[in-house]
Amino acid sequence: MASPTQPDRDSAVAAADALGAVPVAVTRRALFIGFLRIGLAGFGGVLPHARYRLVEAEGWISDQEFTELLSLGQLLPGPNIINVSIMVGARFHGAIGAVLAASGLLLVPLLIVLALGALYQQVGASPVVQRVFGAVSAAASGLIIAVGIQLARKQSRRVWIVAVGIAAFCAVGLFRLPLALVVLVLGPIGIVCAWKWRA
Amino acid sequence: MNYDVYDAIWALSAHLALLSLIAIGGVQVVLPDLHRYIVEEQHWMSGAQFSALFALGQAAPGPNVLVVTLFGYQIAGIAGALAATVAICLPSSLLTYAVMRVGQRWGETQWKTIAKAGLAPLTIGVVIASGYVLAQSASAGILGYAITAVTALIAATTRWNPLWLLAAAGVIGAIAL
Repeated sequence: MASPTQPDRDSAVAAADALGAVPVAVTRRALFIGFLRIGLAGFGGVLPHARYRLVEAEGWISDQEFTELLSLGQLLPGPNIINVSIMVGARFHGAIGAVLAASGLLLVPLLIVLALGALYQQVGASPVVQRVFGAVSAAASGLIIAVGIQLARKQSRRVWIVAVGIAAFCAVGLFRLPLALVVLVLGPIGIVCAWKWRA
Repeated sequence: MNYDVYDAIWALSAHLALLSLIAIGGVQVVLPDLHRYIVEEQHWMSGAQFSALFALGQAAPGPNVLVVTLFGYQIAGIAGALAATVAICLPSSLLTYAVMRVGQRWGETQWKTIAKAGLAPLTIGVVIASGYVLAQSASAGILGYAITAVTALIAATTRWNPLWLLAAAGVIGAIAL
């Protein structure tokens, strides 16, 4: 599969190109199948598979574009990889492209998850299964905490950053406040702090 | 089931749709709120079931957002699963598409950089809180907390495949819990 030449372009120019002339011709079918393959790729997290498929195997976007899309996808609300799919799909075929990309990505994992859900309902009541899941849930919680720790390490130790982080943890973890409240209060506070005192 | 399944589908979907618009940083951040809603308010499942389904979603291939599918399935069967999936994905997807059409800037603008920097501590605090809430919800006692701590330590400091950690925990659970 030939990788198209992607000239280094200024981002603004790239943005102007976004829904216009693109150097890569991607059919709707190829778009769907490409994302289907990401969903099929299996264990190990979707993002590495997505990066491999979009940047290396298909060459639809550059590595830098992928990183930018990912950071934008994380900034925008909603599932990160879905946001990335929407943006890549829309780039090539507008609204339909976005639908094809997202649905291609979700199709196979969705079916697998439904099967797992059904399986869980069948065996979930068994004491052994409950013990296993108790431990696995505990471990999975640890994985989430580890993600948070790794993200936290990359932050600079500015007072506002630590304060907002601790406030968010307490609000959600200890006081169990609704997420909407926490985001609507701490979100603007964080943004204002970043504007004034960005590291 | 001691609740009306169709009412539940509507209620769950409405809640997920709203969460979709504030789930900055991905679906992890909505888990404590969902726990509060599904387990504590609506009593649609126990905390242990909630955490178990979460773990299943983590272990399963595909985007982690599908944990919501599992919740929907447990609460209201296939219709619940599909409704929940659409509810968590659609509002944010529409917003993303709209932002893309209107903004069309993929590059680093100053506002994007500031917004990212400003929201990062919030996201991090919520993610860690999610882990904490889920650990409590797992209802696996002292050993459970120990497993959580050890897993967090290993995952944060090594590059071991997380699936092995989950598998090891499963074995420990079968034997020792």
